[in-house]
Amino acid sequence: MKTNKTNFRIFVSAFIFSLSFILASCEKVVEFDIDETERAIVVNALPNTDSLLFVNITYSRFFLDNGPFEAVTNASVTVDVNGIPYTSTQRDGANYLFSYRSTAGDTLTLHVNIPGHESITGTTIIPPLPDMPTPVAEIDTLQPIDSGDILISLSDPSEMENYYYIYLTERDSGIQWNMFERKWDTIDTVIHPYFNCLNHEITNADVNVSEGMMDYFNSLLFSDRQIDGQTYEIKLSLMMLKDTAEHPLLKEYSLVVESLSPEAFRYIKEVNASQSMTQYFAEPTQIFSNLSSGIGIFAGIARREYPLTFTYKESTE
Amino acid sequence: MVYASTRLSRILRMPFTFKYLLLSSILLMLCAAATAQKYTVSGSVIDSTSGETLIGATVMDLRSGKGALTNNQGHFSLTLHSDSVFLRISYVGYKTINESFVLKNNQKRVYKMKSSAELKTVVIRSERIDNAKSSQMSAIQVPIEQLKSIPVLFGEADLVKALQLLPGVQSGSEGNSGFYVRGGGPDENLFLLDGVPLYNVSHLGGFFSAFNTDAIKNVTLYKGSFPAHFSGRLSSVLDITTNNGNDKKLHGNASIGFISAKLNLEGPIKSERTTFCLSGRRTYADYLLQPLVKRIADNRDYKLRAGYYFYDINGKLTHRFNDRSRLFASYYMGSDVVYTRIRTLATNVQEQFLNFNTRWGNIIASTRWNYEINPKLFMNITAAYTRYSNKVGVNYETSTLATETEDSQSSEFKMDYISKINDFSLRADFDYTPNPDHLVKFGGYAIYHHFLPEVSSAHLNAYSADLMNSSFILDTSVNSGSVNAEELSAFIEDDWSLNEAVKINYGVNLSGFAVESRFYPTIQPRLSGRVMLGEGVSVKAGYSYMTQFMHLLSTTSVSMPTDLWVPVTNNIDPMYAHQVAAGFFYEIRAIADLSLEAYYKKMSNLLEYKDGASFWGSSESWEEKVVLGDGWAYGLEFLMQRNFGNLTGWIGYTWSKSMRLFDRPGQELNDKKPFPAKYDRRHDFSIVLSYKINSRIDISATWVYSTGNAATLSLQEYAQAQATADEYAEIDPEGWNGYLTSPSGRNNFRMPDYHRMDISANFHREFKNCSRTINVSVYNLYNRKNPYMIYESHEYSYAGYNGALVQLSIFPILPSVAYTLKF
Repeated sequence: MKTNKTNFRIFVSAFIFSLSFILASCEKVVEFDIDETERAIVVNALPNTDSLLFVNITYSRFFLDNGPFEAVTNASVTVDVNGIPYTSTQRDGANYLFSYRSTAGDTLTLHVNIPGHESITGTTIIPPLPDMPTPVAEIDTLQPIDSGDILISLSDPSEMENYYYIYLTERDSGIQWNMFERKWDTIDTVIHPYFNCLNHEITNADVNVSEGMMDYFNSLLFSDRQIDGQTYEIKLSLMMLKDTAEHPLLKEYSLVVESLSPEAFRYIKEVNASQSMTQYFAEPTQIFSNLSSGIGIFAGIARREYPLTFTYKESTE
Repeated sequence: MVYASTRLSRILRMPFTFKYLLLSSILLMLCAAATAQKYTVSGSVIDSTSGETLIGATVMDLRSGKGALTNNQGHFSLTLHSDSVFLRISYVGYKTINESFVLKNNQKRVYKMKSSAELKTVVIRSERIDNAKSSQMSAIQVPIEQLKSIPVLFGEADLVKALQLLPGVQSGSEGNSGFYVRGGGPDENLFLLDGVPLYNVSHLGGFFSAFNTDAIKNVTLYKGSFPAHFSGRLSSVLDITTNNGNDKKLHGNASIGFISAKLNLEGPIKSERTTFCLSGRRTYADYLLQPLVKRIADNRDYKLRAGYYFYDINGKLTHRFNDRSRLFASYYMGSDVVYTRIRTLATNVQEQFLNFNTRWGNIIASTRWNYEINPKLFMNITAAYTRYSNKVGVNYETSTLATETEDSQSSEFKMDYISKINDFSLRADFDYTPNPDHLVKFGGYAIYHHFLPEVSSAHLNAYSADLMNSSFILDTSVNSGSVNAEELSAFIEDDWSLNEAVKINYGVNLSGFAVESRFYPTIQPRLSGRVMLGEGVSVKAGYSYMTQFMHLLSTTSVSMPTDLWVPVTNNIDPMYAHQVAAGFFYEIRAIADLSLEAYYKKMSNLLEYKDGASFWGSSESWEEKVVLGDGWAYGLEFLMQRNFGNLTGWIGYTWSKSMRLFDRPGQELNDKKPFPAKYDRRHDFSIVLSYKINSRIDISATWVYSTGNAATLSLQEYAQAQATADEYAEIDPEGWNGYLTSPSGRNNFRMPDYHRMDISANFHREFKNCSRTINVSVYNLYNRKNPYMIYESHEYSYAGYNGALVQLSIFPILPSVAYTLKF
């Protein structure tokens, strides 16, 4: 009996040992094909109504390399605006600067020529500016967790395809962010109340306009596919935002509403998708580019920024 | 009822051409069949020892040169002129029977064939159906006994992995039992178990197939030139017939291998008329690992139970009413189960319980009735129920008893994810043999599908005495919606010998699928033919058009419970494929058989997930996550096989290319450019050899080589664009902070080539009442590190950044032993 038990233990031990041997994976570093390490020319420009135009031109880098992207310094860059050519006269590192500022309705064609490379071109149209009054930001102080809404009223032009992108920024730095930084207690602990555009509601229409995945900034990206030509009220949610003497907000914030060209919409959407958690279970996203050769984007944006002022109320429910 | 009649009226309103073609096809077949004949010899061919019917046995009249093959029920029908006949009945591995008699009236025969002593022990062989003489091309019949000798992973005989060694059939990733036929996808293969479709065909993430070889009698794989009686998938049909059971006495075999234990019993019930066959298989690692699992939890403050197992059960009852009528009842159940239960024991005031349980698998229940209506007409009626389901369940409970400082609290959280398909089907098949020059098959089927692609539900129940005995209950359910559909099919085909040299198989399959508010009718013509160029030399060609009404949504290369079977809908059209093939067949007497086949296949409405989309992490319905596109594949297949003597085996080589194009508006992938399919491989080569040393020992070896799999990798990083307003302009001259990775294209990278050698030896020994076989095998003999997965590794540390492209290999050299006892 004892022998049987010993044999069984030996069998179990051998089984476990063998199984661990089998399941132990072997890893090996793969050699690269040299073609896969060739650098590409990257041209990025998002001409928008708030800024002078600049075009950023760099080389891509192999994923094993660490360091800044190398600037392309010998490019000749021109932009045709409604048929009138503008040439970059100044360069700051990788950025080719222009004296042109975009206006809604402008048609822009970019030409980038780099010795030894194919000419790179791209075209975009600056979309109309977002049409909406200053949003109202309300905080309900009676909720278990202070929560509130930002109410906006956006009028969408009819008979044309429009795309929108709404997000939060710090007013003094312009940094896109998803949280409100505020002082919490006497030892200067900073906490971050939460802003979530994805949690939104259109109060005058029973539709969900969100286009897919949440990005890092909890921004709202949508098309007017379902609400073309209407004025609609959007309620965006806030959490734990109570500006008091004990717990003041440390910074001022703005809500940014961008009207996007189709190219910008697709680019931002695919950038968001490529950074989404679902990416781990999916084929890697190929990010859209409207450039004739090379990678990157040339896409128009019409941008408006609305400083946020918070009002506090007690819920009636 | 109103619903059903609406569907029926929609079907009756099918296009005029659809009905016209159906009627004209039937008339054409009947005209072809209406030739003069005299008397008919009909019956069955069976194994004399077990009473099992033999599929594909040849019954040939040597005087007239006319012959017939037994069908899947072992039945044959041969109509000859009134005269003296000399019949030869032959079947591979059995002693040939010769019989001569004068044919004066219709004759009924049951031929009992004796197994050839020479072939009692197993040899490896891939047998082409009737080789050069058959009008069927691109089909391979694989006797199941032969599969058991091929060296396999963990010593577990595996039907699908053996088929992967044949030309035109490609394996997925390392060790995976999925297969890809002539550039098609894993969901484009129709697996028929006794004529009933099976959805999930693998266990353990695809490392093992769902077929227990002990329960299987015969397997035929069709890669192209599909006969009209098959429909429903684009790329292949794997027709599996299970054992009926020994009608003489109780037999069985029990075996234990490295991963599972199996038991097979078969025998008569009371008389020879009724037999049973019961097979079961279960993995046992979860039992053996329990001590280890317990030990993990021993020194901690919780109880743990965790494990994984799979099992499958095949059962079959056969009753023979008389020589003309048989009834079969079959049952199959296979399932994979993963479970984890954790209960904390930290204190006597707080207790937590976590239960995670995932289960997925199939059930098939079918009843079949064979009836010989007259010597020329044979009928097979099948009624079946199929279910595929997977369920992921999580249950978390926590409770805190009241103490001096705190009141009692409790909460319960349950979450379930369920996906199901239920099919109810009725099928009728008729074999009509008006004369030896024609074999007409006709029939039809109706399937009622009930799909439940995705249902997620969550339940939260929280109670706190602290908050005035308040309770909080939340029930939510996200349901992609169930879909009901009816699939109808009618077919007719004729295998027609025009003369000694020319034989054709022509037919048509008319199928339709009614789903939501759409009805998708299809007319699928089939044609194949052979021309004999000389003794044992022929050329063949074939064309087939196939339609598929359901898709498998899969994000990974391994078979997972998250793979979803979904039907076509109002927005998702059926897949279809046109395939043409041509081949040359040559039987080199006393040496080997050669075949060379070329094919071209064009596929439409293939389904893929969009970039970045998967089953997980989005509230969008599955229809929103997919895109439709096209594909094409072409290739050349070479097979040289030797079926006799002590040395047997084959050499197979495939050169192929398989591409995809998704360029429809709003459905773009890969920037509207063509890209290689996931398992596009230029070269696939295999050698399978077996040598019988003596009656007690046989050895075998396989070597496979293939081009590396394609993978999508993002090897370049680049700056992310940002719009910057003037007043905040802080333009980074060296480029912006954010960066992106984007692959240069889908499947833009090739993994290293794959090659592997396996060997095995079988040691047989006979005892008085039983025999035993010990199988010793070594998988991956020279320990090749074949790629299973390639991924980008990024590591940051104080020492700096360290990145690499890493290849994961999962199976090193793996010896295994299996023991089988037959009684």
